Amino acid sequence: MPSFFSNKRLMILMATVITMVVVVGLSMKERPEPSLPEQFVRDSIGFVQSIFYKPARATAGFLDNLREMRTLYRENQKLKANLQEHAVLAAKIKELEEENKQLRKLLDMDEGLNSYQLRAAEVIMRSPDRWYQQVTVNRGTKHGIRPNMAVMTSEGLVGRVKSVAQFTSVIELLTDTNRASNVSAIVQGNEEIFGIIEGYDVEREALLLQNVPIDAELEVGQTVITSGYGGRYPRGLFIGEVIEVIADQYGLTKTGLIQPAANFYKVDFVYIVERTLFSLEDILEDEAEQRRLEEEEAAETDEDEQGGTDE
Amino acid sequence: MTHFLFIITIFLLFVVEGTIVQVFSPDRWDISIFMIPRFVVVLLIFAALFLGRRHGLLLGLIFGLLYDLVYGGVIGVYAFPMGLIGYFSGLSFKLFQQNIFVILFTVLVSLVAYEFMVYGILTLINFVQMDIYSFFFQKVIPTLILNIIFAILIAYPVRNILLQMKLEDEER
Repeated sequence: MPSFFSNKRLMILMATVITMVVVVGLSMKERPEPSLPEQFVRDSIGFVQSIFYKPARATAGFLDNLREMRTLYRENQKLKANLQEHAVLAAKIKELEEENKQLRKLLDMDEGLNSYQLRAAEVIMRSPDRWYQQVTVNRGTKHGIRPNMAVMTSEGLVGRVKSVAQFTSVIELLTDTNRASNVSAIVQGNEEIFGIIEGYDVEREALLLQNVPIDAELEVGQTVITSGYGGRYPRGLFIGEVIEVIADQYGLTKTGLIQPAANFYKVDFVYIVERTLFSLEDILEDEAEQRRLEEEEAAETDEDEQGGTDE
Repeated sequence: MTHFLFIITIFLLFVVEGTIVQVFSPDRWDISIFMIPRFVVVLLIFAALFLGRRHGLLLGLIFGLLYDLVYGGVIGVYAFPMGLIGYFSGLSFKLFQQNIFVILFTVLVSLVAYEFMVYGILTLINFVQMDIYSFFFQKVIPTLILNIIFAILIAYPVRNILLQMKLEDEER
């Protein structure tokens, strides 16, 4: 078929399709730290975006306020009623914290699974089509953000840091159905129930808590928090509430539908959570790094010595 | 100079898509439809129609790549559909006469093709799980309405600018 292959345009089209498959295939896997040109493009566009986003959000906030004005009075009364309860609880929490600190001191434990450090960040853009459930914030490696840190709003956990650049980083929300990392979670009840937050039900707008043992007392209304056993997230970040319990298709485990506490459609200000307790992985990595450095140093001194004998 | 301003305009629309439009997007007000702003693609189609297919292809690849880097993650998901749209939408002025209905029809067909290509690629690499029915009614139709309105609003000014750009090109 000589005429078929001599068609220049067809050849170009085929070459394009092949290039596309290769490029998509190569960039498909997750890249927590993208190449320098990519980081540069993201940072510089991020700067322009932040100029646009702030005034827009301020306007939207004003409209929101107008809308809320109608329900203000009723809400106020309800909150006043809650306030009394809140004061009692706050006093109790303070007492418990004090006690906890003292007990920790007795045991010589400085940091537990639940100790973490927060860094505030502002959202500067969101992917326009909701295919990628991700937002970009105005903090990056220069501000101490690392890949896979947990991200929360004042309401609860929203996601994790997917990739970082110098001054911006991309946050993957929990609503992403293609989420690579799952969150190890605890349901608070009479006894702790372990499960894994894995996947998102788009229709019910609920997170899926999988792998709960069939005999666990999972009930509607129980609260779900992070367990801290996954190695990345600290313990005790609020995720949401159980709204329904279903048995899985083989009847070996249960699945809980969880109403997330955070509103994923209104993510404007986030906290990036750094766990201060090192995980075993971190320690091993650090040790490997240390060993590598030592070896390099040893090699250098060897060379120096050789240089000395030559003279 | 006009060329430069035109590209700056596309770039600003690119930024606006992810920032200002997102603040006023329907899902923020608890409405579960997705009006995706495709302003860059609309301007790209205009450029392809009035300046020619080569311009469309080049602009499409550049802004598609930017889209991939900033709003996406996988490189190529937006770049190749945008390049293809830029190239093939330029054909329609060769086949039909130039008037507003042909422009709007081209925008309509190209946008549907673009949405389906992006959806197709992302489904192929298993990045999204959305059935085609809800994709069509929740995403494609609202997106078309938003962008056709945008295209009608900008059609005459953009046409004049692009014709002037073409004159400048020919003088050179």
